[in-house]
Amino acid sequence: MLNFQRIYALFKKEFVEIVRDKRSLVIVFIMPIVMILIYGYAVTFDIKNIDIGIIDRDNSSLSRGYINKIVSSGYFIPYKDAYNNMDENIKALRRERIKVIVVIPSDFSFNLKKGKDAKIQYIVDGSIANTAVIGVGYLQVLTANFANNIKMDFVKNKGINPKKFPYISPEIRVWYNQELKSANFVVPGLIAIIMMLVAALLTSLTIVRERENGTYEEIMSTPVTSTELIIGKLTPYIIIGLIDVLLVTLFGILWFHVPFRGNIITLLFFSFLFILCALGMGMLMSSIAKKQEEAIMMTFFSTLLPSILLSGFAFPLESMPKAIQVFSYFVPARYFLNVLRSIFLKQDVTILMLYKEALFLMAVSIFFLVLAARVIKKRKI
Amino acid sequence: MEKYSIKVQNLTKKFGTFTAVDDISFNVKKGEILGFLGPNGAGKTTTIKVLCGLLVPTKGEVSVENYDIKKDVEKIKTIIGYMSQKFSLYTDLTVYENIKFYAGIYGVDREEAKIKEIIEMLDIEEYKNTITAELPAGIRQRVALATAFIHSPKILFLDEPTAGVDPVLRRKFWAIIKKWAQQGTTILVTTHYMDEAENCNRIALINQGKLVDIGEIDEIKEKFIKGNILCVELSENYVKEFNVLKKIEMPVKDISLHGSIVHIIQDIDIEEAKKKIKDYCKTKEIKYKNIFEDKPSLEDIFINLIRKRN
Repeated sequence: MLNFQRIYALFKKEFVEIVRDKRSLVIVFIMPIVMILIYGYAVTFDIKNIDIGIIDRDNSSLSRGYINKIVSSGYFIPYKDAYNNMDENIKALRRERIKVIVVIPSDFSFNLKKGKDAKIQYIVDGSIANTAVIGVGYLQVLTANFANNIKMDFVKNKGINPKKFPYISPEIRVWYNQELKSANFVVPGLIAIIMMLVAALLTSLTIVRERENGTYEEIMSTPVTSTELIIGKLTPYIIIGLIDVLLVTLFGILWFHVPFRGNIITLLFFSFLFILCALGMGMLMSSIAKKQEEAIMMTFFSTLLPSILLSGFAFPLESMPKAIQVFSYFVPARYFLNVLRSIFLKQDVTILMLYKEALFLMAVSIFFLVLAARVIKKRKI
Repeated sequence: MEKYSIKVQNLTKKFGTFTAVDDISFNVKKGEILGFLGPNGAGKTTTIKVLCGLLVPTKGEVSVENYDIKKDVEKIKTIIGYMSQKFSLYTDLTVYENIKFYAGIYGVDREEAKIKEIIEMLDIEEYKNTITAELPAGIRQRVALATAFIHSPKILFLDEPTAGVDPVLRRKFWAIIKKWAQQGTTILVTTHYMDEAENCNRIALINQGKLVDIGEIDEIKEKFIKGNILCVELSENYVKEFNVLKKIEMPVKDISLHGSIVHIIQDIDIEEAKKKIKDYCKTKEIKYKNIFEDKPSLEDIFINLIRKRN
């Protein structure tokens, strides 16, 4: 039987301690804002302003038109100092001044005018694979577009109405994040990671600190059970965590102009489940660790890294090896991230639609809390 | 009515291969103050922690107020109070908040009245709203005592309750403890201040995890120190002189230095011994100030005990 008077006494004590401890207040109110500001700007998957070198051996109106198409796209910035100088361009590629060299051969316009195939060479710095892949993708699209225009002109010159010429044109509709703005999915993801860190970090100290101060021994000599201890200690952090979610969400909406299309109740419901997971993990670390520093280190490694790497925040889970994908099922941020992206970007997303995520979050939080309670009970002091 | 408050039978506590408490048995009477005496690492604290339910005994039977420590540890916890070595308090909370927290944990009736009463009893009213981190050790000790006694426990465990507290406050502290014992609280206290042990009704001597003896102080003294104690007060060079005096040829059972006073335990006639010592001092040119007879103190027993161990 739980004794609510004892839980209330623990709750009140813990709350007063948090409010009086400057370090806790920094973690609660300053850290989330600083993190969302830094990472909100730093983590962007939009690739713009890729530096390219240009070698135009053809130097014709066609080749200049092609270069103009690339530059005016807005994705590329030509490295003018090395224009048409292959050695300089290679040096620039080596010291990462540029990422791509575009080489237009001298027979480019000649071949095109003759109605033959023309070739263009891209030399790409593959050491930054992500940028390279995206940069080449942009170039291919621009080139295809350019080639299509040439084809149309050619057809027109032959006296055929280009409109009668068959052509497949894709009509792309991007849903949920029309502008494909990176912030729109980075910021909701960040909320999951920030909340994981804040909540786990706060609780990771709660027991080990008492152990260091010696108050833990006194508590354990009282009739308080491990379940009461956990409930009493966690409740203040749940409240603080929910306030933090609202704070960071508000910041994302007002500062990064991320849309919020779902409803606040769904957000709070899932935040509660997720915070419970994070607190459970923090609690477990706290009951295992012997020193506060140890608890902090353990928490960082067990919550922050998996939340960033294995949640789908930065790297798509689908392309990971199966074994790692299995591991990612135990990372609560994975579910919360899905939920947050849905709530922020999609309309009419209800709790019921996300029942799988809810069940997983519940299971993970129960797992960690029960484990923490058992460690506390077994270890005693 | 049950005479004993705590019954310990063949208690052993091991940590890995290290045996902290080695097969000890003793009983604690209701309303008595039992002092645990022994050098550091003797197993006093471990024993207390087992009795409080903080450690699980490796072997043996322990019952506290007729509750078995293995089965009814939760019930035991409601009727005991425990004050650990460090006067552990929540340092960010005020004195009042600390006491109120424990009152809530123990579910104390008429909470506010009880808190007021204990604050008055321990004379800490002026610190009521002070953050505990800012308190001197003597006051922290009393606040810790208040938190351990707020629920009027039947048994109070005090682990070195006066370490680092000045003598005046220590006397005050003992006056309170004695009063509580008179009102029926059983008190189990560890200490290594010998003078303090004199406040106990009985003492248990513990050394290397074993119970060496338990009994009333006078009984123990008689048992351990057979013979009389002659004290020789030396001059400034007492360390040097003590080393010379140690070599005196007479049947000495024990000789030890307490400040500048040498305690010689021996059992030949007191006057004869005095003469022998005086003569020896004369030949060796030891400038003593005084020679007198004294009753054996617990300190003598304690030193005796440690000496045997080594």
